[in-house]
Amino acid sequence: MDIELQKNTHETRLVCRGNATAEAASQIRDILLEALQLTPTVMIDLAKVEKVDTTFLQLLVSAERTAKEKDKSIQIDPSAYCEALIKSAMRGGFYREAEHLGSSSTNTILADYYTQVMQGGDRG
Amino acid sequence: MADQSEYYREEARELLELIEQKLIDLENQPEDTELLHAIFRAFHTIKGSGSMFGYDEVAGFTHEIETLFDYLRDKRISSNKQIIDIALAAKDHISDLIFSSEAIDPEAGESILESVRGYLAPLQSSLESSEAAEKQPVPPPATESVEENGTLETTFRITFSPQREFFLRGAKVLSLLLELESLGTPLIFAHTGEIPTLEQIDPELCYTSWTILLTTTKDRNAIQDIFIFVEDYSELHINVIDDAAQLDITSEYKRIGEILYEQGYVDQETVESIMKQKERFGEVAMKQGVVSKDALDSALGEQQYVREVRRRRQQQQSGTTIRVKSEKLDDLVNLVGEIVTLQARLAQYTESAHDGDTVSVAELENVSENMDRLTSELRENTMDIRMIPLAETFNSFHRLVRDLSTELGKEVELVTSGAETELDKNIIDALNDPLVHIIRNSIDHGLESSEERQKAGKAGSGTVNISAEHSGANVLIRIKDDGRGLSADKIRKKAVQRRIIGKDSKLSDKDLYSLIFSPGFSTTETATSVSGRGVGMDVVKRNIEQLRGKVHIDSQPNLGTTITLTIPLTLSIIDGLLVSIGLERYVINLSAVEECFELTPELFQEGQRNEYLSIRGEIVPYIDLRELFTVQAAVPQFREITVVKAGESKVALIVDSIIGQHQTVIKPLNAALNFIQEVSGSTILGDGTIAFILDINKLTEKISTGV
Repeated sequence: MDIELQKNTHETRLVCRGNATAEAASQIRDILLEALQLTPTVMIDLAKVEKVDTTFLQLLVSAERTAKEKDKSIQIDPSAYCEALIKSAMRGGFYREAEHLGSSSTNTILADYYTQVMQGGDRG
Repeated sequence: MADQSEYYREEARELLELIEQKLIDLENQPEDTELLHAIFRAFHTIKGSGSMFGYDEVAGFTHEIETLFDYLRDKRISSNKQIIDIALAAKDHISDLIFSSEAIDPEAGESILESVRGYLAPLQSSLESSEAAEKQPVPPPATESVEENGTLETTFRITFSPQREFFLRGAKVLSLLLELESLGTPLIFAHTGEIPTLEQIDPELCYTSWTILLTTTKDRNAIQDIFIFVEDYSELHINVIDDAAQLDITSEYKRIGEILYEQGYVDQETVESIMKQKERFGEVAMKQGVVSKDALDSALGEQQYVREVRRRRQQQQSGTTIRVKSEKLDDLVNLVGEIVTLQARLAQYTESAHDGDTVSVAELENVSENMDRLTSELRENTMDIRMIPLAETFNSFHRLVRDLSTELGKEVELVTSGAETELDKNIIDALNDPLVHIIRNSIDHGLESSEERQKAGKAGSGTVNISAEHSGANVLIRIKDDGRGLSADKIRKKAVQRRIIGKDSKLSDKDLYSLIFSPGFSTTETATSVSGRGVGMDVVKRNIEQLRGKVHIDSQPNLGTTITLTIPLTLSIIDGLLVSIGLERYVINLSAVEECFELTPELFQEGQRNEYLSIRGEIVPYIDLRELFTVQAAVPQFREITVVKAGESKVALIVDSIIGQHQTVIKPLNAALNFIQEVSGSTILGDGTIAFILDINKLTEKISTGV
């Protein structure tokens, strides 16, 4: 996957493009760690990401935990809507994790989805 | 409204009726603490169950009424007519909130609550804190409902724990989860507790495990098949956590502690020690660090999920429900047992016959007789299950009478008798509207005002008397008032005006009274809002006739009017008397049959209007059914007579021969044949031919009207 690191004063932005899958896992981990060492806030832009698998979801969780430990924050950019992330997070059952990381829009979608399944609805 | 729980609604219905009854009793005994307690408890249950089943508005509204009755039973307020009026209005509002399909005006509820608060305010020195709606587990009714869906669903809990190297083998979890979707809609929880920080994580390893809840019609194997290729590098457990095949009525699913124990997160000792502490299991467990947050999340999710599944299933199953005494069902089960045994015998005989053994006629006869007995009993038993007493219906009329009394400014007392009389539930449901209309009519048009009554030397308060009793295969329901009675004169005038009868027709008073049932008839000049504009009585008559019943009206000036409804007990199976006329066979309702004997010439007597028979000195009109049905076939030498009785009228029916008793399953006639008055239904005989069922009521009517 192609990741561009944009460093600003308070926030480091990671602009991703391509497939966030197992082959790129090590690369993604390295960059996430780097970003977290640079600024208090990290923002991940996934607008151009086409595929998301479990390894990436795990890394997001890991990143969140790392940020917490370092008293920093890491977020997924709410304006950069990524369908692949939502689909995979839903399918993989990563609701709460996505909540922590997610944009409010992602949260709402996931919360709605969760409620829907509880009520026996169809997966959208 | 989308979510409704049938059990709650049924319970609420009963509670609301109880509240109404007791409120009316309370008017006469305002100090009765028992009544106050009972009313309080009823509101309390409606509130508690309401919030549990999602009827939040009901719960919220009822809360304040409940408080009112709390104060009443504590004697902090004493009851008076206004409070009872408010309480009745509140009961109606709650009923609307639960049962009405139309939009409820929020103002209505608010104004009731305003009045309630008027009574509460002086007693409340501080603002009442809003109580969280108490969730009280409601014991479900001991009725059994039957699964109607063809395919039964099972809910599985699947725990899937891949080994660390899972991804290195090229396996993809999301693909597996995708495949699960083909079996149903899974609810998936990812357990991420073991994922380390970025510094420690090996990005290519799997640190996550999953708990999946899946409701599906497929079986366990279908699930296992999906994971078959990754068996070697993962741990898979599949447990059934809910089964539609189990008729487990208590929809309380397992407690959190149980779920966590089952999933292997806690051991039994820990569960027990935590349960001893009265706080919420989950909170304590987390505090003690016994389980991780996501284990708790998935356990909570599971609990909620299964509850939902069960709730939805219950919703699908119940259309209308009836409460049935368990003894009746025990009897039913026994009967079925006997039938099964009999069936086994029959099967054995058949096999023997196949093998060449002879089965004696006596043995077959025995089976047939037993089968006969058992089907009779079975029929009675199942009919009985549908029978409920009229009490509920009668009780609802107390409220009606009270309201009408207030609205019309007349003092009325309702007296009921025979409330224990039982009728088929369908019939009771269908009778409600006609009875309400008759009562309204009585009070509105029949009863005079107090002054009028006193002038006429009657008691100031009028009485409406409703009674019910069994009579043969029918139930007689009488509604009697002691009002002014029907005015034959007025009726005649109106009927002439409406061209229902000619100006010069001479009808007896009795006949005039029956004209009330003609469409468009009403003797009051201005219809009141209560009784309507003369659309009533003809509709009542039609409704009753649809139940194969009869309406009869009798009246005496100044003494009052009595309306009698004769309703058959069951709608579809009767004991019949099979007779033959010509080549056809007919069925006569056995309960209408008085006697049968051979026709001999001496019986005939010539009379003025009708021809009649003299039976042991009694004059009985007769109908020769051969003549009536213009039967062409040759007349037999000896014919027979069946004397039937409908209400007060007796008629002798001349038939060719009386064949015998026949249990008759009534098949309605096609609407195209409705013009045939003498026949009210048909049945299929054992040999496959059709017999018509004679309408005794209509036949006797023919005689009395001389047609």
